[in-house]
Amino acid sequence: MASSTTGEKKILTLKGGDNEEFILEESLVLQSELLKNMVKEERVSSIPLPSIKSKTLVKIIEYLKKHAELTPSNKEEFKNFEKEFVNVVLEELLDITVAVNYLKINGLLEFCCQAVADRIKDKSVEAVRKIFRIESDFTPEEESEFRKETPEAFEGDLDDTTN
Amino acid sequence: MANEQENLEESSSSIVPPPPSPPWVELPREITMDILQRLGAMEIVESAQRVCSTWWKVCHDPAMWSVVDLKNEGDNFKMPWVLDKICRIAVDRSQGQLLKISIDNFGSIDMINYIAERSSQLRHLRVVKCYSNLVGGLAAAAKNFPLLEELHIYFTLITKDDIESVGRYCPLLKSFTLNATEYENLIFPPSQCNDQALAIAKSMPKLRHLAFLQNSLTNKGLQAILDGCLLLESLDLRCCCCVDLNGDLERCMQQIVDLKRPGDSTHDYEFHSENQRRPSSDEDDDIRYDYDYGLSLGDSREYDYDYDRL
Repeated sequence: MASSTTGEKKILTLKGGDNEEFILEESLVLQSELLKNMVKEERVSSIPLPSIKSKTLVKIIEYLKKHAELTPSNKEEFKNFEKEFVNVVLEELLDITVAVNYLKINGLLEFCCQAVADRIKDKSVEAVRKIFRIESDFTPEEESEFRKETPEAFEGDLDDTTN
Repeated sequence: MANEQENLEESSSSIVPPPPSPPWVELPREITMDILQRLGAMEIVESAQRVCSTWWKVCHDPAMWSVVDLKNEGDNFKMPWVLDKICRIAVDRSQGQLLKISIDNFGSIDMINYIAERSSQLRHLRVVKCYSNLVGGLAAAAKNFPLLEELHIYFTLITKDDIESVGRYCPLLKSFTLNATEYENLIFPPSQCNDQALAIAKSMPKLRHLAFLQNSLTNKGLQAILDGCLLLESLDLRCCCCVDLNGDLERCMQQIVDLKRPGDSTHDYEFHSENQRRPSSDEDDDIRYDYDYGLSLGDSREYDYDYDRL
């Protein structure tokens, strides 16, 4: 982690999928394993991230800034920030999760996966399909097989389609 | 396609439409796995796997089942045989790759054997309120857990023979918890109060962490543990009211880095309220030897093992 340059802050440009540019301190992106390796090995100053929407990137940069400011004294504040951070529509949460996985920001990935899991929890199969816009691709025979395996299965709250 | 790319490069940011969101079912497999794993075995088997064939396949990947945590509680309370069945499905799907399992508020010797016969890689076993009885079952199962490093038993009756078998067959064991049931000191006669401690001292010389809560051991048992387990770093003796540390305290302090004494608070302990239910030591004196009373302590569960063996 030791850097030869001291004092002066290195600046890096991230380019989102819709070509929007984000200029930020290099130290911030070191939380991403992917970017850290790019910066350290290739000494780049601009990194294109065509698969990540700018909207998603804005969110992630916001997180990186907050996380960099985390100290024992503002832990509570950070927890609240995290809660708000994932309090977005499901599609956006999935975009963030995929991007965070790609960027390898491990702590945040875990948090995002838990947030997605929380939206599935205690919901019926039908409700989950509806929320996640998944089409069932099982045959009726397969469906009846499931019922045989766990005939007593709790079917979930059929009406709960909140996401 | 190349031209299109060039156009994108040239145009200003406001015109380019954002890339589409990835369809949910095409998420990277490792993310789907990570998310679904967080739902727990019960919900995976009962609902998540039935959402679509992609999830179905992911939910059958042995990697999903290396850690299994099953708990029967609260709003989701189910008949124990339902949990039993889910547990067996989880063990089957792990295809021998199970590393860590926790079963809470259900289970039987039969189920422990089912796990044991199929999980030779197991490192970590946690059993809570397994009908308050695993007597003899653990001794048989231990032979199949050669790599076991951690064993945590709460409110589930086991005997010195179980402990000795674990010690013999699980040479890598470094952490052991035994939180006695509140009826245990009614079942074991006072002459056997140190049996479990002596069994640990004799058979688990490489133990580093021992939590021995609510146990009826006396200073004799404690001394045996200090003599037998020379690598011990932490020792939790909370609610062990027959130990008087006054005599052996200095030795404990010298040998044990992290010592919790019999009178120490259990507030930070996950089963704090359970241990609060324990009768006070004064009451103990009154009912300790009253075995008939002990066996029918307002609990309809069956204690169907052979008392003569104890």
